[in-house]
Amino acid sequence: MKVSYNWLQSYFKDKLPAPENVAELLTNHSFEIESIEPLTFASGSDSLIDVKVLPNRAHDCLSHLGVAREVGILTGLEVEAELVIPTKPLPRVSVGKTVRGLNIEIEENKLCKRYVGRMIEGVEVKESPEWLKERLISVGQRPINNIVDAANFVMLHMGQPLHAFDADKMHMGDKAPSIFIRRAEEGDIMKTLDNKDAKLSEEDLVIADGESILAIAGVKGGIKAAVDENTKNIVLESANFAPTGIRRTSQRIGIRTDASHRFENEIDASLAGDAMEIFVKLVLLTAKTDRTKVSEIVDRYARPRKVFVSGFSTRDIYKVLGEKIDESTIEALLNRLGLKWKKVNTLEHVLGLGPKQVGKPHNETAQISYDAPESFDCSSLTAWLYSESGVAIPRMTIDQYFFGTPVDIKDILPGDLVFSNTHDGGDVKYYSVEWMKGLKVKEGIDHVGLYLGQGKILHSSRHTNDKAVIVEKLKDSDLFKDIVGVRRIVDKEDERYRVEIPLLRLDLRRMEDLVEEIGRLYGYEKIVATPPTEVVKASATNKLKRFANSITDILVGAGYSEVYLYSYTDKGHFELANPLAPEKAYMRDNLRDGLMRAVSENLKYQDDVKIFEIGKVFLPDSEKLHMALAFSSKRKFKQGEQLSELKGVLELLERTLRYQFIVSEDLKIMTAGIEVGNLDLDGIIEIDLEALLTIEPARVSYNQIGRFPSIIRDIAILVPEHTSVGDVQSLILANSGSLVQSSWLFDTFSKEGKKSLGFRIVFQSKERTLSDSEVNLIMEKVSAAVTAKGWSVR
Amino acid sequence: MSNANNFIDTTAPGRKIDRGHYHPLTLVIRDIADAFSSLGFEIADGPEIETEYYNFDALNVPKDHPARDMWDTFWLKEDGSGVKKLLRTHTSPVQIRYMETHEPPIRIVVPGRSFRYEATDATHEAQFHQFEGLMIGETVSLASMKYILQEFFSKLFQNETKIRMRPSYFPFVEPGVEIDCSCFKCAGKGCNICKNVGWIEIMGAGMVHPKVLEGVNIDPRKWKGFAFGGGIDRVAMLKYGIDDIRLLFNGDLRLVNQF
Repeated sequence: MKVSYNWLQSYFKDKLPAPENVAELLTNHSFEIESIEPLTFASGSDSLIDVKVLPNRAHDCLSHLGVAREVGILTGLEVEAELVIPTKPLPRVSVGKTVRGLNIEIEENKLCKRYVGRMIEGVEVKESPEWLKERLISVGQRPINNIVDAANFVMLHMGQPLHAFDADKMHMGDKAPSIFIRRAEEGDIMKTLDNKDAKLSEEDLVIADGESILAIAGVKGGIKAAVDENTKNIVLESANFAPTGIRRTSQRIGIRTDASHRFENEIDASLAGDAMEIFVKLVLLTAKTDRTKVSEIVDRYARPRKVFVSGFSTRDIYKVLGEKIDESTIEALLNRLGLKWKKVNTLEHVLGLGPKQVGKPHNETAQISYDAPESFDCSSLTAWLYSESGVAIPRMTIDQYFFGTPVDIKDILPGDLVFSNTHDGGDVKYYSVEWMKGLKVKEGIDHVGLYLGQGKILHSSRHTNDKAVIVEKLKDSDLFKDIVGVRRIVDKEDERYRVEIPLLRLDLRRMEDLVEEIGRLYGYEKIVATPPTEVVKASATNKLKRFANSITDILVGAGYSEVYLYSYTDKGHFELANPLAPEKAYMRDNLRDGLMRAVSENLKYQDDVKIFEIGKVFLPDSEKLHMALAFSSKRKFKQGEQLSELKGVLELLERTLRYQFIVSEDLKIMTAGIEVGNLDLDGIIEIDLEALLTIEPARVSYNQIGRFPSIIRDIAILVPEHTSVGDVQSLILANSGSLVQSSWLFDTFSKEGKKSLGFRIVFQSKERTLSDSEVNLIMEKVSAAVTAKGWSVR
Repeated sequence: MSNANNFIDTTAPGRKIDRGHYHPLTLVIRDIADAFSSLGFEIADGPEIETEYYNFDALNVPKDHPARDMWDTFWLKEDGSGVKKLLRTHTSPVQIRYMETHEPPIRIVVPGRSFRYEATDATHEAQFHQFEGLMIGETVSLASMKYILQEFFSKLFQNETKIRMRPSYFPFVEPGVEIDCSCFKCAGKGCNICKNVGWIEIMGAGMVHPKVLEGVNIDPRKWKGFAFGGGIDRVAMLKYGIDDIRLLFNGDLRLVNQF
């Protein structure tokens, strides 16, 4: 929200602090400030303050008056009751008889809560006065003409979007232009003010004149009844449209306007009436001629919202903020916030209010915010009595049952709620719906009343003889024959602040919202950092993270550097609906491809590249954490060098993590018979860390250090080039018996199509000292087996 | 000291023993995890492809609510399951997943990758890393959050750090605040890191919204909690003076090899 400092100042008699200081106050207590920019006009200088109004305050603060109210709260300066404009005061409006009437019909009450219309005849459309143009220009708006500018000004002043139609361009039915607020028909096209075609569907709300569409409600005006320099007679609109509908329409047709932005954030319908007053005055100020006539206001407002009541206790403040704020401070803050409050004993308030409702009609479709206290159903009565006393309880009977604290009927006290199953064919509920969803009461519940004491119950009775709020003896009541339980909402001593919420503050509903108001105004900087007094338990270990960390450590130690690459790529199992680019349209299903690209990039700058990544890959059935490493070089590799390096890393992991990896002939990496990864002859290993983690590593246990000396023998075996080391080693082990303590390949070279493999074998016994001759015998057996295989011992 | 027979050249280089390098984000994530582990927080994680429910609805960001605009979202193409999927726009869904499967008291920290649908430049990336924290207990308040975060930042920056809370709004907390920490370099005096204001904007936070708790069947009258979310990439960039976020993800070893 771009706010002009001068405009802001116009709401105050007293001088405001400098722009920077206003910005600082707002920053610390209300809103983030995006920027402050100096502005220069012929009339002097101004500052443009960009205030970041987030959705919670978009109801009441997307306007200069809204921000002024906030500045008033923070500075303690009084905000002027009436709009003050730089030139002469706003004119009074005298209603005259216009030639044309005005019919307004809301066909969609849910989507349009209120529509205020007014006809003004005989206006002169021209340029706006300087002060008005300057106001608009200061916040980046383009002045158009006095009528349109007045509408924009009032919106920026108080947050209510407005619109004006040229009455002579509207279809005349019965000598009076008619306005219908209805849904568009599928495929309707409206030409907008800026001459673009907007294609509409039957979900979109429009303003129509009985013949065609004049505007997309709350989003954009159409060209048909646009006000231009020849316009003489105008119809003014100040309406309230439902947020969800506006948002959907605006998104579907791709048009976002200052108006749609305000409506989709929801503004209170009370604004529409107030805004129309000022709109008309401004039109008269700037467009009046001696022929000007103003009609009566036509106000379609079916169900005005009731003042919302909420509340909190000092204990709530302490529980949420962790700061003990004394009552006089709280009360001073409530006063500064301009909230109407009263300190009440909750139960006294409930019990005082309850009996006054006797005789009010029972209404099965009662909505608290519109119908109370004129009519009730059973749970709207109890919910209303408590919310009027500053305690929010769930709206539904079943949820009230689970919300309250169980009380034995023997111990029932005034203020307790009594729940029953009436067995009268009503809607019996067994499970909680909104509060702690899914809790069960096996008896089922369909009725609730408030216990008044002395055996009396207050309830909104749907009984055919009553159909109203009544008081009767609990034991004689037809609807309470089968009592399921008694619940207590608050204790006798409970005291709290009962707060009436101003209509525009749609963000203040729950206790926490009020605590936030107190907290931010009190000043978060005053909250003292306090160690929590919770019991500390040793935190559980995240095994996968720990595992990934050890692998990272091993690989870094082994000379590999870590990279983080992008999760999106050009192929995979999951496709993005709105990718940044076609080559970023899929979620990767391996780390290999990205690593390959990173390798070739890095080879531009260095000879050898050893890199790895640990990251998520996205497979059809799940996300998995993978590790991949790559080894590559600009040099020409020596025979087997690359593979030998990769196997070396694999064996390092094997030794450190105590797994046994087997690389199969088709290059799969197996452990404990499970495939956990693969080796790629491009120089890459990729391993599924989650699969690996499911496998139990070998246990470490201490092997007694041999007390008897060991004997070492080497044997070199000449084999054809394509013989695998594994086969040769197996043959040695199969023929060397149980005294072998360890054996390994220590030398290898190729010559004339043959390969020489040198093995070292260590013999040791746990029981005795081995003799040379004993070991010689074993070695002879090995040699014989080698010869028998067709190989030779060198 | 030396003579011809036992000349020792201590200036001659040793045998070159290669080692690789940690990515700076790993270093920061480890510091964050260590600091929170020492405060009794468990490291948790969750999926990066999320459902609309966990990323938004369960966090009190209903469909068609303007608050949705606070997160530019990568959506996945419909897969016929009827469940709308997306790339998580924050690590906050892990709060919900964890609360669904664990009873309070709860202390978790979630370092992880998140995504926002936005054009990239030196300070904006569509892919980034966040650390989410959640603490739920019977005596947890905004004052305890201030304490825990001050302890955390002091440990992370190895310097006595103060935090400042400013009013803000995130649908899943109430009250909601922005957290600034005193500059780790100049301790609040003003320097190039903090752009001479002495404070660094570092995370969003607040008291867990009662609707969020109710949604996972935790009674908000008994249990209170705080939650916070900060940028890991941002911390790494500030700490190491990295001026372009894209360098973190292009795999260039000329960056990584400096760590």
